Amino acid sequence: MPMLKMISATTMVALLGATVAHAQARYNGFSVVLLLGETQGAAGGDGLPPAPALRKALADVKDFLPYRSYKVLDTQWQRSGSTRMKGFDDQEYDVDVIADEIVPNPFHPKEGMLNVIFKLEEVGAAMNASEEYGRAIQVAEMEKQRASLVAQLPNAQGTMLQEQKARIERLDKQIRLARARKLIESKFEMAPGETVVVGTSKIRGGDKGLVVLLTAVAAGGK
Amino acid sequence: MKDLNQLLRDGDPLAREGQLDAEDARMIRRRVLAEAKSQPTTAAAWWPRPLAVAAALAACLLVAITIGGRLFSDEARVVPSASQATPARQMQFAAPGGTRIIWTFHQELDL
Repeated sequence: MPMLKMISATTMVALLGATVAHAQARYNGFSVVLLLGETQGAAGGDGLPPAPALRKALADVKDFLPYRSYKVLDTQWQRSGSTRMKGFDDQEYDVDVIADEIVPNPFHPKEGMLNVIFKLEEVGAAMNASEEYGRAIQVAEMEKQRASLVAQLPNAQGTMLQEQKARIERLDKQIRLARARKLIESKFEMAPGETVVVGTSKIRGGDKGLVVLLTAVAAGGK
Repeated sequence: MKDLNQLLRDGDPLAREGQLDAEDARMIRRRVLAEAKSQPTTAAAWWPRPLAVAAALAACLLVAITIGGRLFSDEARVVPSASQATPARQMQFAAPGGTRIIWTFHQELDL
């Protein structure tokens, strides 16, 4: 009987220790900073968040990216899941961060490491290739309508002109929504406190790029 | 009263057989010795086996270390993007300061 109590007590202590260690290693959430990188304009990064970890991360990668200036578009604090972020020129983005803590094992002996899935897509992005194809046809049709309206603009006057401009504006919004796409879908590992730079741009050229500074903030706030 | 041992001894047919002739015994011995000499030693056959197993294990370890080294290398590496409707290329690399960059390139992207 005393032996049984001893075993139970030892198991309880071990479980308590494991729980405490697990709780200590857990992350607190993610800091998501969305930046617009531009090749044009004055060099610098005015308005960047003052957090030293973010500035260090950006300083680290600046030489690898072609952008001269960086502008903060939006900043969010996210535990896990989905959020909407403001982008450039009224564009909005849906951002998903899914994180699972990796249980330490011989291949991943480090405690508190996270498996992260990061997604960034324009609001209303097509779910699959067939939907994207259908939307491309719609876009082509809407662009024809837009071109026709633009061609008629010089002849329009007064309320007619205002109405046509409003129609062009509406078409622009519809075209943008129909063209919405998934921009980033990445899987990677992160350590608590680490900042990973995730970004997207056009394959060749393109004077702008979206840069995300993703930081896994540890429970201690580091 | 006879016990079990006694009964077994009494029932043993070998006990009733005559002794082996000395010449026959020598002949059998010679034949056994000759056969034994003509067979290859068992030690020679036995030793290469663990050596082969050890060599195979070492080869497996070497392959595993090489693959692991390549998979978890901090050097720049290109990985295929997750399946997406739009073709995109993804690249992962680490800056000298240790910050990792994960970049997705799109064929057409207007910001």
